[in-house]
Amino acid sequence: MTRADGRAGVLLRAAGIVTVGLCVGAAANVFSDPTLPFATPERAAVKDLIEWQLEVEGKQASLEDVYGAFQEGGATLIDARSSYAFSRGHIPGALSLPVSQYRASAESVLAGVPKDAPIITYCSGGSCQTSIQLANRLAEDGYTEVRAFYGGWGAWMGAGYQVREGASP
Amino acid sequence: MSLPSFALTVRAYDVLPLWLVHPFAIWLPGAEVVTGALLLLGIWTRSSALTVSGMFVAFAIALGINVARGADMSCGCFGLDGMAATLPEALVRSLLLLSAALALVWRPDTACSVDAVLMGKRADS
Repeated sequence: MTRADGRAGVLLRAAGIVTVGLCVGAAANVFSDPTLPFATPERAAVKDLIEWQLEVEGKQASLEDVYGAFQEGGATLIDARSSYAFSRGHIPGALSLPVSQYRASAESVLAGVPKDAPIITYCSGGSCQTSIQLANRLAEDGYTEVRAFYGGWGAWMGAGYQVREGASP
Repeated sequence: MSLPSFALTVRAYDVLPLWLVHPFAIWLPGAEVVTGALLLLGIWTRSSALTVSGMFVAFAIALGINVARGADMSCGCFGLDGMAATLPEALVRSLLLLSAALALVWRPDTACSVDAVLMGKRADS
């Protein structure tokens, strides 16, 4: 066998692996629940996001809820974005707990927050998922009154409400 | 993590054309299982290492784009809940694993692989 044949063989087998992978993935999808359609819908539904990630209806906080929490302090706001994004601007009073830092920082950030305190998480808004992931994780860790503000930072800014820069809440 | 939530992560990366998001989310786990099994067993090592290298290049590009964008998202990798690594950390990890995969493309011959048993000493080359 020449070297060129060898290379072609390697590429051919790699193409075979890719194809078999597609078959395995498609077969696994047929048997999984819920299945995923091959055709991608234009937008992922918020309903689906909430159902998949929180698995409980009614855990979504509205802009009014968040504004109320900001004014009257009825809920602890937690910012799931990066600490850089937080320092560039956040909802005044919000705690910073980036999802990627959860294991390292959750204990210290949440030190003063009782398990049954109302909590509202948010991220940048639009297509971000971290508010939902953070809410889900907090619920797993025993926080009973957790909601996610799906509109997030974008909706807060869009409403023209007060913002704060820097690392402190 | 269910396939629909994995598809949401692929969508959140915002690097693939929309029509490819679901097909990719269906293909990738299957391809990872197949290549992972082949690499573990040492079958078609060079070809599977090449496939894996392609994946890590793709992951690194997708992560790099989102690090540059400053996107706030979980990487959807390893722990899958995204709570174990920031995007830059995931990017570094992808590059390290890419170098390991490329080393296998370069030198696929190992003593205790099925390739070695079947073909004498040579891996698929």
